[in-house]
Amino acid sequence: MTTVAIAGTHVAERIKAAFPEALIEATEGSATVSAQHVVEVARFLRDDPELDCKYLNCLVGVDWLEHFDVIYVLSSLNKNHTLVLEARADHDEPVVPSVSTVWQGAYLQEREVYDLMGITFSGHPDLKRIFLWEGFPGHPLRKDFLALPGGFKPGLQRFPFEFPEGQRSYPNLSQPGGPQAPSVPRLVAPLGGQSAAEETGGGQLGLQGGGSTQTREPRRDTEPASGDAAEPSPDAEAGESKEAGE
Amino acid sequence: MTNLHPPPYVVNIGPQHPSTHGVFRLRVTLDGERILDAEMVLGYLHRSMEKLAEERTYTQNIPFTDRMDYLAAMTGNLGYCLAVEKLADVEVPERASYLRVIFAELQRIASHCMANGTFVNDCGAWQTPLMYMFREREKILDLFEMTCGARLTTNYMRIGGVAFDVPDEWYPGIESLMAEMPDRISEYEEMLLDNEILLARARDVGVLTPERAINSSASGPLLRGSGIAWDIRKADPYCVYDRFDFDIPVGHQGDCFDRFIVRLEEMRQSVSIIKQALAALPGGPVSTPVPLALSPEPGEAYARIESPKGELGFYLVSDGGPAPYRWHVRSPSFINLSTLKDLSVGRSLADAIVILGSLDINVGEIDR
Repeated sequence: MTTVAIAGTHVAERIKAAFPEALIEATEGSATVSAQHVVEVARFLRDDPELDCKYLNCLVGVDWLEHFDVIYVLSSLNKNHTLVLEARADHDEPVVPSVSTVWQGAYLQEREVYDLMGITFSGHPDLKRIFLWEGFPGHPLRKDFLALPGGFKPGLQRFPFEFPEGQRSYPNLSQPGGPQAPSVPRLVAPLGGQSAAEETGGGQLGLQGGGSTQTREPRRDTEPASGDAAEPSPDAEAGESKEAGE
Repeated sequence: MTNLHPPPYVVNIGPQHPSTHGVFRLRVTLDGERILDAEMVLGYLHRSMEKLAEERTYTQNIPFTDRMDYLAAMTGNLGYCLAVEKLADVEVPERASYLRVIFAELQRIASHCMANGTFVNDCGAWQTPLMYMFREREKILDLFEMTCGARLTTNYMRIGGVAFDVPDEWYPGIESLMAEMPDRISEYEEMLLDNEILLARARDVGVLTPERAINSSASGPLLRGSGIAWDIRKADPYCVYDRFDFDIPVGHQGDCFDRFIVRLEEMRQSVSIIKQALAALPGGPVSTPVPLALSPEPGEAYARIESPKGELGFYLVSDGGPAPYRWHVRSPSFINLSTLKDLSVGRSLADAIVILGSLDINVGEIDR
């Protein structure tokens, strides 16, 4: 015993007899109806004694760039057959009536398709995002998700907005002009005082014993200015020696 | 004294499963202990597999199916490979089909061990039954490790067969396990079927009528627990399931206890299938050569299998390229959750935990 796949052309004939204006096309695999008629077609397929599609296997959205298809894989557990119904929706404003009143099993799946594909299911009791968070930009399963109008790329280009106009990233030291740019301040380490103090002797006293600001201020002024911290200027040496002597 | 906030109260359960099947949040509105409304909040484990799969070749997508239902990686592999084989019209060698059946049924036993163990956990029989069932699951995972090197994310099935043939030491391992397994299942039954805790917590709780089950697209033990003898292995046989003799266990009440019994009995049926498959295991190759960048003809295919959780289906659309144009998973855990609100509303909060445990969800498969 295997499941019989009912040809889409046969389903299309049945749909055409009941709803002449609903059918768009039929292939061997599936029957396609326009989106606005999908609820009455679904109810017909469910309640028809021959087709008896009481079970909704799965509900899928497919983005064909010109239009969206919402695909309903249906089956009858009693008769053990399956068929595929497709509803075609406009790409700019995709709206498909909800079939969650026909099959309760569509409730979560329609929310999934809305979240990831951006198809609005009108009449759904609680249509909101299910996997992504509220406020997520765009619908990622769309084929044009990474190329939205205006060059907006949701989720990928968040960081460039944090930089000033014209600047694309953090400055790179390997770029030409990078190392020359005065963005990194020079660190001047006051290590020279130690060696100078060892040499002169007076400086050591000034650093250790002299707690007053007056003893250090001349040293701070002179060190960067001289450019050579190993040789303190005679003024500073004299000043410290004088104070140490006091 | 100021008045406390009057009912109803909104309480968040989660975001994790009470016995950590994954990160799941249930927002319940309570009047006292009675549930007025239950809303699930999903997506904590969403990895956007369906989008990622559109950038990869058909073969590269197989590891994603391990990570959906990570407690049943083999059946995830199998469902996907069957869908690609249907789309690309690939024949599978007979030995590979038998091995697929054996590993899928081993996985079903392992998954049902987890499902029943954690369900009894949720009922309040804390940890002991789970540890008993872990004992057998451990041996099954050892058999997986022997064959494909992995215990959880197996990545074993390939398009056109399986990755490796089983090693020599695998045969005594599986034969001794299959010899002791019926006794082990009887042991679970002796331990649990008259268990006062389980009966008090699971009987007549979460009753799902057959009509409601079909209308909600319920599948697997949830559907069979409601008394509908629907099993895709029988109704629409894939691999070589039509060559084996096994029964479809069904429940009568449709309550949580029936789902538990159905799972226990399915383990016994799986043992029977594995024994038959081992006895008839043919020789020969285990895979067909398939191009690495397989490019099926433009078209669509829906293939489904009976996974431990229910109907696992893959809807694939090809545009003739080496990567699928659309890769959709019909995951049983996700769709079985449609029934959760109906089953919980009107019951007490403690019942909702038992109902959730009896659905046997896996959040990796829900969020994908």
